[in-house]
Amino acid sequence: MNAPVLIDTNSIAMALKNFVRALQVSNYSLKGLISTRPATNFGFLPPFDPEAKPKVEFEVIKSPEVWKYVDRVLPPKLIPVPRPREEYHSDWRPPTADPKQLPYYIPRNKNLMTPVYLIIRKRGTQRITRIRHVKGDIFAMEADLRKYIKEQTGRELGMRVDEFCGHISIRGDFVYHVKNWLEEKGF
Amino acid sequence: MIGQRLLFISLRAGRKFSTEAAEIIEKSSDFALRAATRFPVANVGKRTLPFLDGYDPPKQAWVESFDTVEEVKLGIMDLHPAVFGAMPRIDLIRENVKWQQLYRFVSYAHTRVRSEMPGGGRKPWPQKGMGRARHGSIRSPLFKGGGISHGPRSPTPHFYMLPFAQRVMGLLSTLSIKLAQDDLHIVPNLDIPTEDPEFLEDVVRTRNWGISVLIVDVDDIMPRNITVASDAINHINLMPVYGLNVYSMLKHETLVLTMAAVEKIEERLLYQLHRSDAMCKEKKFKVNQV
Repeated sequence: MNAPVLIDTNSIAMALKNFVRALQVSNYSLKGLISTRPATNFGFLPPFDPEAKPKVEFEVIKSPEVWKYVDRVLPPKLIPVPRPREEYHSDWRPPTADPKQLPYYIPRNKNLMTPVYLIIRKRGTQRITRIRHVKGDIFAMEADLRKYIKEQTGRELGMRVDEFCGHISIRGDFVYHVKNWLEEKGF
Repeated sequence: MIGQRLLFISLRAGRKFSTEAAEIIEKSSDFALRAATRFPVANVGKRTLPFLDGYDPPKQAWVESFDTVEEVKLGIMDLHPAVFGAMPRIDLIRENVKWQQLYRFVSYAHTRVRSEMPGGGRKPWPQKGMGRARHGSIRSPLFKGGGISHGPRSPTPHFYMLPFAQRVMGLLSTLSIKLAQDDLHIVPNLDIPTEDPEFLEDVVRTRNWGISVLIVDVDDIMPRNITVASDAINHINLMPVYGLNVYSMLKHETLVLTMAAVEKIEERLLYQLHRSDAMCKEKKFKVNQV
């Protein structure tokens, strides 16, 4: 009881021809089109081909011996601490102060620098020198620092002590003197 | 004066301070023996703490047993001063709590503007000749029953990102405050002998822990007994280290950490304090970036 099926061979041939032409025009590979992945072709990207060979040939190895060279190139996760030297090639010095010597202590920040910062506000007209992370008797440190800068510059300072946050703020740009004083004390 | 104040606080809170109430049960002679037999003491006592600046000595806390109702002191654990002895920046704690409440808050308060109100298309009265003010619509914001201009519009998300350093400092401050206020307790592990909730209640009552207790371990899959026991009690909650946050620590009065959790918290927080790429943590949330 099979009904005769009429096949228009001519139209099928035309459809195939158009299909192949479309493939050629859009420069798609047949493999990419008939893969099971969703067809997300953005036009400017070549279709994804999981079996395509990479342009650069490489070899996958698992060896700790070789990995140490990779590790050397990767950026360090923590700030590296420089090893102690006889002579340093920059102005940076490690802290030398005994933490218990003075009633106050200023540790280095995580970048191993002294925590002295210049804050510029009010369109550059207000300059504040700020020392952070002061531990211990912050008022004793303020007195010492005030005396030192008075000797150096002959100026009376406007200073503010924030004991809660461990900050000392000086009105004006005294970063140079503060850093010198900290270096003198060995912080 | 201070004593009276403390007494008042303790009465109001319904509990005594454990420094007043608890006595060291152990005699010093058999202390080491008990500690050694009860659990491996490798981590108790001297720990090598990284990133010490030499000024702050390590903080110390008792390690207590968790499988007995009575408190048995097993040893003393060194804690990193940068994590458990930080300056209690209550301003940053407030910022953290505010942020935790706001970043998931969406305001659904809503008002309609004049174009969203029905009607109002007809001029209510002629422009001139009536002796009345000129108006073009009864839904004008000047009218009673008119639209609201600049009112709240729904949904309004309040998401923002707190700066990374403030998030870290909030955790440090809260942990330090918990330790300083005698609300932080360290236990070797979370193995308790029974899954009866009454046991946990007894532990909390006997040791004068706060009514609400937050128990923190490294893994998020905890032993069965404590899971079942705490499941029935609403104010005793379990949390893995990766979920530890300022709001929950303040929500619960007592914080109970396992020794492994202490080490993990210290390791993670010290890493966050000293990592070289901390700037990258905020890059994603910068507004108005090109």
